[in-house]
Amino acid sequence: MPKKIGLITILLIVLLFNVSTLANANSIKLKVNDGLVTNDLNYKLAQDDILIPLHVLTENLPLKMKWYGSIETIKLEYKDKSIKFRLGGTKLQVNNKLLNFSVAPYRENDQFMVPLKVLGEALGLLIRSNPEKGIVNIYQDHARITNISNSNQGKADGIKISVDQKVPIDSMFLQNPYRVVLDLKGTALYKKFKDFKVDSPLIKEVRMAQFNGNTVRVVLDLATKAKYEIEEQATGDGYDYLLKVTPLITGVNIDGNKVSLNSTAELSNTKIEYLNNPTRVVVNIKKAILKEKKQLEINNSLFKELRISQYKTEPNVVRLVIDLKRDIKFEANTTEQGLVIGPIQTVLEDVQFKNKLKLNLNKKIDPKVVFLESGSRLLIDFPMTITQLKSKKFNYDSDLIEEVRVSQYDQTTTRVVVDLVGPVNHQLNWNGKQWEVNLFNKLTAVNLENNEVNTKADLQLLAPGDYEVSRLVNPKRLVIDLPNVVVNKEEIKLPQAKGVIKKIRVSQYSTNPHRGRVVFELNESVNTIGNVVDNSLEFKLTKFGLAGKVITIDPGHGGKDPGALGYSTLREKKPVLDIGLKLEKLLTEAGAEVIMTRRKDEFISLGERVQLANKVNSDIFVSLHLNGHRRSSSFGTETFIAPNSNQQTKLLAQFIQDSLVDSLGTFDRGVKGEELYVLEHTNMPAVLEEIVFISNQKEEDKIMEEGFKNKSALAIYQGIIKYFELQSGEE
Amino acid sequence: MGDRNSNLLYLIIFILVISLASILIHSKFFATIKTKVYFANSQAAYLKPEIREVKKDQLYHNLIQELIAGPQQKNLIATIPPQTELLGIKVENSIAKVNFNQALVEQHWGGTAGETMTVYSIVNTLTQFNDLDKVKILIEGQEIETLAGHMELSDPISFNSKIIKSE
Repeated sequence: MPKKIGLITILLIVLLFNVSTLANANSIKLKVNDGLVTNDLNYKLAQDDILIPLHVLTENLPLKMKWYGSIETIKLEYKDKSIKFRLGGTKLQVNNKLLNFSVAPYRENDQFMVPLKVLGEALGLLIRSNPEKGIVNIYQDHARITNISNSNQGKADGIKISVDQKVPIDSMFLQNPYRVVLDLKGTALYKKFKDFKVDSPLIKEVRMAQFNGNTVRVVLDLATKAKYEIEEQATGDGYDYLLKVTPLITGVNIDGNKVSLNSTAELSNTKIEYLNNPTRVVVNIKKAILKEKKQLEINNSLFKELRISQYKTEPNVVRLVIDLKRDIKFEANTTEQGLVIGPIQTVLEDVQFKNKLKLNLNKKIDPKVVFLESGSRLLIDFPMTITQLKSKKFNYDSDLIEEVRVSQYDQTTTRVVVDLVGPVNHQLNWNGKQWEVNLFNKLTAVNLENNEVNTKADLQLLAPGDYEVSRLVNPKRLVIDLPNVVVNKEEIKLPQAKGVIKKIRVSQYSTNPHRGRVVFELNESVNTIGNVVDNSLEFKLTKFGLAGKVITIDPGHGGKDPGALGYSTLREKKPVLDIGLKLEKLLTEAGAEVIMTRRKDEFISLGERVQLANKVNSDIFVSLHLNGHRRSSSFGTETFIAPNSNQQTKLLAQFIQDSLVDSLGTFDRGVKGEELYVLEHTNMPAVLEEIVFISNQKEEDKIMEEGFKNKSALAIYQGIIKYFELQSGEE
Repeated sequence: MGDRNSNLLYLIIFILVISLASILIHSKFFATIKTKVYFANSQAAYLKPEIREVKKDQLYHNLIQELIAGPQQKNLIATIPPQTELLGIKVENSIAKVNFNQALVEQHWGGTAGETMTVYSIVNTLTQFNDLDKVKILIEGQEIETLAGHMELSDPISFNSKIIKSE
């Protein structure tokens, strides 16, 4: 028996020794965040988990621990997590959730042994074990990949990696085979996403693995060389990382006049160019990769041949070249499948007439415009344009257009024919929405006729037109403006000047807007009456007259009142009467009725003078004076009006003052407002002329001359004429 | 009696002395005032003031006399014929009626410029103080329609600032 007991003891010792050597052979290093904590971790393996002393965690991680001895419960706090579990129990409460341990924690020699895998996961720690090397590594603060999916919407192929927080990503492109490698730093792969299948002709395969304790590596195997970009998008509970790879053009199809490119994503970066010899269109598609180079003979109504190639790789540009049978323009439209390239299709939507002919198109295209002399016809051809107009003939209330017709001239050309009344000048103008056809009336001839009463000028136009007349007094000139009229000097034979017309000029005054101008230089002032008669404008020019005008001339002083004293012996009353009588003659000849306040050397009171003018309801009152001062030093011409005179009076005064100063060459003392008797009490525009200073030696000498008096009368007459011309011009 | 007479004499002398003193102290008799007297410029285009120290006693009368006497500056011209005599000035309701002898009309050189210079030199000189609003010119005590055939003088005339040019 003792022998037996001894053998059992030996066996036990051997067994224990073996167990201990086993344990020694399996000694484990524990690292936290890759830092070594112990070479010989006290541990126990059980049920898929490894139990380690809790103090290893609490000493090396920012964990808060509380021990409730009476209920043998441990409470751990880490970040936002609060975890409770009881020794010997398999439940653990994580915040408000209950989880299970596969093996219960227990106490061993005052150490609490806890299952690392379950507890670590509950705490949000990443536990990595390498059984061969005997290392357990605990990582804090790891992002987790929560999903991976295809992301083929929009402009690029790609995949979407969802992570529960923002992580830094390193990326690189590698060759042989072509692949993109992404390293998500500080990220852990808790799950294998076995269900994920990549869905892209460009991306052959996606592989994802925990590259090291701190990095998840994603590798995309590509079918060919491609550009990629990474886009970060914040989601509610983390971040999505979109890896986009340049689209791959997989095929080319020809459908009638359209070429479509199939691609793994939308193709939007296109530029269209046109080249000659041979006529061809070049479409450059940036940021795209071509699967296969192609050259196709087509030979339809528009295309001869098509070629597509990878034009460049840095950056990626695919080039499509189509040899064309005609010079036509193309547009590219992005589709979900890729890109469609076709001839620009324009639609003539409507033809309208509002002051001018308007052609509505869905987009701008430049027409070819031809004017056919025979038949006075304007052809407007829109290439690559169809029309959907139901009515084909249009008649408008226009003086220049007889009819407008619209037709589909051939498959791709829409023609607008405008029948015109004659060789009308035209101009097409795109207003942003429609083509406006500006048609211009034209001056075709000028005819003159003269008789004893008047001179008749006849301006012939292509169609009835408007006119604006303005009159210049100095030089005497009649200006007739013709809005929207073309004047071609070479085409118009001007007649000999006749009657009151001294000279004729015609010109294109402006082209924007079009405005023709006819100028008649005149021998004398005229009254004009204009009339539109059919296609012509008729003007009757009658000598300008003062018929019907009543003018009161008031030579100052007289009789016992000599007026101003001359430097020598002359007295004002004499020369002002001389000038007054000369003025009377001029005005009477022009047709005016002239009232003289005196015609001889007699005294007339100021009141009587005013009464005379008011009684006959004179149109104007002109008082004639010579100025005086104590000494010879003062000189010049001045005109007085009542203060606060109306505009008419001011004009009359200014016209006479200017005319006097101009023709006499005297010093201009200006027009002055002064409360003078004859100005204050007359009911009509009244002026008082102080022609020169009789008290001034030189000016007295002048006023003694007959010629100077004639000049003075004429100057005042011209001022009066100008005033009445302006009055009639304003009527 | 003699005492009474001498008392009366003293009283009279006393009253005389007092009244003389009060005349000397209070009357304008010796007082003067700085005034503007307006004359025409050589072009008869505007009036220009000359500053004169004038006795306050019979001020308006003195001012007209200054006008008749003419300017001290050579480039200014008198506005009133030298033969003109001032016959009297009467102020009623802030209007001064200034009465001249016939020479103002008969000796006047005429012209609208000449007439306005004359009339406004009188009016502006007299109405420079607040006491007078308007001036009416009389000849030999009679109202006149006009002075030289242009201006209306039957109504009193106010100060004309537009015709003045100080510098």
